[in-house]
Amino acid sequence: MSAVALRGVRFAYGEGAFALDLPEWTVAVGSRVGVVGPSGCGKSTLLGLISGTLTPDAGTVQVGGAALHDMSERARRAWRLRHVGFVFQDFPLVDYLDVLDNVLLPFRLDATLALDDAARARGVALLDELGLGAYRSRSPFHLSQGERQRVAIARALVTQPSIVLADEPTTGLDAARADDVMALLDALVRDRGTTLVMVTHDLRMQDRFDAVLTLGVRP
Amino acid sequence: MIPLRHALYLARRSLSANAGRTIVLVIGLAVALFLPAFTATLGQLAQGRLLSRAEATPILVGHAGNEFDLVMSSLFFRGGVRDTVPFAEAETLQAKRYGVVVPLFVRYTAGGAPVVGTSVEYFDARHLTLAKGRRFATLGEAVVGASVARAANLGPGDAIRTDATNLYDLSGAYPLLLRVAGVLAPTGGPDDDAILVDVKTTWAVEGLLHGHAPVTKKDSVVATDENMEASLSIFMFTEITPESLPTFHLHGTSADWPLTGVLIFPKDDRARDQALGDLAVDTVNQGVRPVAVVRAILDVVLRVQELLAVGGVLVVVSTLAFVGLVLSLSVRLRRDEITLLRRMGAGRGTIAVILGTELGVIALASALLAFGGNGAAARALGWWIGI
Repeated sequence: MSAVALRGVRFAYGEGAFALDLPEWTVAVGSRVGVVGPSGCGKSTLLGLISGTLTPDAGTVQVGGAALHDMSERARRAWRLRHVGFVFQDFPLVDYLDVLDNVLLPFRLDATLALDDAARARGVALLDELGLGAYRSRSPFHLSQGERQRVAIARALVTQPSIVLADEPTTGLDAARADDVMALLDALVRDRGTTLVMVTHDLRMQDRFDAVLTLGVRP
Repeated sequence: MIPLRHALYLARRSLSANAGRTIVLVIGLAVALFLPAFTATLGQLAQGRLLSRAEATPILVGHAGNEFDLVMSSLFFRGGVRDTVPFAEAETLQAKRYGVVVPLFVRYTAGGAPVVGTSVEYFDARHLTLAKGRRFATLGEAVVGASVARAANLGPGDAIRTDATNLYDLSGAYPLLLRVAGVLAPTGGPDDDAILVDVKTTWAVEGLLHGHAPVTKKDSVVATDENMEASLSIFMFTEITPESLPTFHLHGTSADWPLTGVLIFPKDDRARDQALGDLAVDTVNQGVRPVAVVRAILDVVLRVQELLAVGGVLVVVSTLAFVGLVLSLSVRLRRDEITLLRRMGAGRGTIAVILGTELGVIALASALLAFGGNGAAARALGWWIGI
């Protein structure tokens, strides 16, 4: 079974506006896939379709066996919290929560995710694994940019998602730091057998992916 | 949907992380809630106490004139009356057997507290009990109210001097030392702030009843075989002791001595109606039903209170506008956080619950502060206003 399967997908931001067309695209379970292309080609739109924040005008979107195109918005939100981990470009954290609470934040947003001892233990273990075990009670204010990135990555993985969607996490980083972030993500998803779909226009990263989807701007 | 305990947790963390903003919001909202609530509470408290005192006083007799002054002086020991009624009027009312007749003479103070000249019947008519000591029995003895006793640390055996009213009038009455015979149990009314004495004691303070050293021809300015008029050099007693008591005497007849008011506690409704009917045709004195007078006063107070309520509403509206502005700015400042939560999977309802819970906690804290403060302030001021 594919981790992601899009068939005959079409999405447009209004009449005559930009459109994303994907006749067929699949991602194997546990693979690391890059989505590249120039600005405005629809990379983030594709992540929106995979995560269920956007619904296609036409076609089907299957992720981890769930038919997102058939689900209500409420069902997609609940599914997203349970099955999708997000890594955003600017690694945003909630400043009034400490590091561990930031990692456990997904559990506080929906009643279907139980914030039990196992979840807390998982959060602590992730922070330990990322070298942030001593920082769990710290405010994000006191973290370096690299430490904030690792906290955001731990948050994406704490719910044990079947797929991690990363939206240009290395943009704006120097080469060394971008390599660090990529290596970290790579290792974490590989160890857990998690599928990774990463949008990037950093061509240096292409060698790290099992497959690359290149999107172009429609004429 | 987000569980309430998680929303409360996030609210607590957010509010404590922004403690300064939270405190400003809570205090601002609490003040806005407190002011109109306190005005209303204080109004109700004052109305309740004024009315209960008035209802406990069926008939009040005084010289014809301002009935408001008469009620304030005789029931609440505030202000004073211009004209007095002679003691003979009280004797006349007593002779008509309407019920219990209690004379009042309220003109002087001791340590700032009103000295209420009355008779021992006052204690039973007002259902007053003693916390310490006994009732006054002789000239110069006093029973002090609970608040007066507490403020001046007075108890049986102590003494308090009446306040001088004529410091530069050497021919006038002198302050009189009052011996404390007893202390009233707290009543929650004006008696707590009063000093009760026999009416003759207040006449002594007035100078109508006095004691002095024996007058010899040497001290007199006019002397005949039958009469002597003492000069101002004669020594006037300012304390009534067993030794000086026999020298206290009156000039004139007690029937002419002044009372500021007379309370009547009728034995039944018929006696009440009879007394009011008789007093209605009296051209010199007036008989009033204090409850009617107090209601007339309260009508004025209620109008003022309505004006204050309008002011309170304006304060609430302006404060809510201020709180709304702060919250909208706060939401804009938290746009990144809200965007993050939305992208992670939180719906609009979840975001609304998170922000609403914060607002609810602020509102609850403000309400607790406002209404808790209102209760405490009402208790404190209720005691302070002494009605």
